[in-house]
Amino acid sequence: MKSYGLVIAIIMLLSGCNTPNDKQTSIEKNQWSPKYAKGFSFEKKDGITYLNIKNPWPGSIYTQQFALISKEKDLKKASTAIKIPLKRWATSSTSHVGFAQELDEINSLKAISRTSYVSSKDVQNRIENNEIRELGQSNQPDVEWMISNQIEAFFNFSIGDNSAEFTVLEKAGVPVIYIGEWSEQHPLARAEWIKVFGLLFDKQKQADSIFLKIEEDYLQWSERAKTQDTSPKIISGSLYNGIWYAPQKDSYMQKFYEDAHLDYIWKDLEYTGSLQLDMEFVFGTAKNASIWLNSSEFQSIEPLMKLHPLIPKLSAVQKNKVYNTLKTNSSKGVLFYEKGVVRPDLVLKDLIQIGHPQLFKDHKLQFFAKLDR
Amino acid sequence: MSIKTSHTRLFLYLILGLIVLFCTNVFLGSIHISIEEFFRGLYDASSTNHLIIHAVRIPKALSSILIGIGLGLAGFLMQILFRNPLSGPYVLGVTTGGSLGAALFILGSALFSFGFIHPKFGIPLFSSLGSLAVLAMILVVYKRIKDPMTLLITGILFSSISGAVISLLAYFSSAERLREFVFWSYGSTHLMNTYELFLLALSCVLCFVFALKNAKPLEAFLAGDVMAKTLGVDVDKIRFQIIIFTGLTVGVLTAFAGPIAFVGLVVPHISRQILKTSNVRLQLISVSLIGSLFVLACDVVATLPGSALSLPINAVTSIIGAPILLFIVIKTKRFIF
Repeated sequence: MKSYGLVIAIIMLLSGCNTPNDKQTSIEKNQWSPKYAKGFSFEKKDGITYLNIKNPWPGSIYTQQFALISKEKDLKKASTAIKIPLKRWATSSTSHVGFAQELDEINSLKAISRTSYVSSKDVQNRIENNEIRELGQSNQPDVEWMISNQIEAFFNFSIGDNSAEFTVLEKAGVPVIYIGEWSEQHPLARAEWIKVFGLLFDKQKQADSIFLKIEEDYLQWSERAKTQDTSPKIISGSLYNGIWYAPQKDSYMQKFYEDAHLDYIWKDLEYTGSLQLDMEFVFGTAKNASIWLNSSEFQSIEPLMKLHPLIPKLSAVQKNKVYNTLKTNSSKGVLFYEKGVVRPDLVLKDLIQIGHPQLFKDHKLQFFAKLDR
Repeated sequence: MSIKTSHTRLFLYLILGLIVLFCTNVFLGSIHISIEEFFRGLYDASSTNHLIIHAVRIPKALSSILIGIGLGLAGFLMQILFRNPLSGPYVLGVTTGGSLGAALFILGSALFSFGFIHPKFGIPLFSSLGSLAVLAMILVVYKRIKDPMTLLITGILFSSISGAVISLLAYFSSAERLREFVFWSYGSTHLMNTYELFLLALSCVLCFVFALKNAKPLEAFLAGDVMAKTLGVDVDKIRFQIIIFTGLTVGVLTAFAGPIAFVGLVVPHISRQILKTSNVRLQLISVSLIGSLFVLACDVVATLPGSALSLPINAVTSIIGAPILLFIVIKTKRFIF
């Protein structure tokens, strides 16, 4: 067992040496693989473009393939065909709304699970005007409504639950597409899923150019941050029932911190799922950290300090440098989970602004908000 | 078996009620279908409603009926086994075993690399294995110590251990996995495919036939071990068989529908209160009919007709079940067991 572990560790180490920057987009034998994302690829066979979805949730070996057809007469050429561009689609995730917004495709969104989680003003207005419908819980979407309202595709984020509902949808000709952007571990990999949306909305070029700009800005700003001599020590996460939950090693949040040239105190701690730390350990290791990010649902420092007697002693709290990610464009939802997925460049800019305020003097935080005193 | 006119009438009412509730359940859904469109959708395969009625609503109503029958029968047999009105399908720990299996699959996927199994097969498979494992352990214990009290304590112990392992798995699990497990634990009468419905029906039929064939020994068993032995009942054998049939039924139900609460406890009581007989054969028919009616009615409420949202069936069964039982007990002014 130990030798297996060693081999796996060496492979992981070696694969880790290839940073996404070193990778090249591969266009070989009509196959196209993304630069950062690992969950999808495209290929062309007999003039038809196929979208391949791979391992849509961590640890899965599940795959999907869809033939993307633009001409009605070609629809019978493949068993899992999707007519593009999509004119009527539904989704179980707000992050998909973010992708659609970048591509100006909110018009074609017809239903979403848990509409109250949507931050976009435009989408909220459409919900109020009954142009976009509530689809119910994401694990139990309203299958009947989707079938009777000719939804052309359902974008699903879940990890394979409710397969019976999805079987019925597929039987009715509504393909269920697993969008696995949330299981990608690089912020740019998550954003790169815009190319899948671009293909489905027949806006591939637009999607490519949007991503190119996002990537360019992200990398450029990250380089800029790394020119700074100091790297402020930060802590991240929140306390619940005496346990501190924090982003684990190799998570996409850690990648953000690294690229924003922030020194995340627990960057080397390994764990399955999120880090769960004892408050004494938190205090012992993080009392001098100058910034606290992602501090859960609190809008002000007062209730936060009441969570544990050691919290007021943290340097970040004393310096009043505690930030949450609860910003929204309307009175509902959280922008970070919506626009933040497709715009990692802006999230990064926020983080750089927090850690290195001298770099972007006129930048206003878009996703992060400082907790009030 | 002589059936009184009042019992025949009661069964007819229950069957009529079942037909009405089945139709109501199939007619009501998240989208409104007019009566005219509904009948067209029943027969016209080209209609969109055809698929909604046949692939969504009818399987859901059928699974509700089968869940009601299965849990009702399991609860009824458990109450006989322990001669205890508080017993239900949960007592043996088989449901928690099923939950543990599902938790190992959903929450432990990252730890144990189960990702190669699709949840569509993984959840029922692991849940069945969990139920069977607990059932096997209970049987091993029972073979050594043939005492109902020990069995009850063993069931509680297995439940506690399973619950503790689930808590540990949940503690170390990611938010997404936790969310999936929580939704699974709410229970569901959700759509089942033909294969799942067949397995559910098979387990219910086996349980029903076993109980029907052993109606007389079960009646004698209720009167106590000594009386049952005097009447020539092999007490150990009947106890062993109850464990097997109930365990298997509950295992299959938990695998496909999740741990649905209260039905197994409340349905046998409602049946006894309104039937007022200890005749096991009559009780079996009544428990099956009332179980179906109860879960069908709860499912109509849980579906929230006309709305995209739905309620967890687990909550609805408890909210509706408790007042019904209380009402019957108050009306009959005594608790029959």
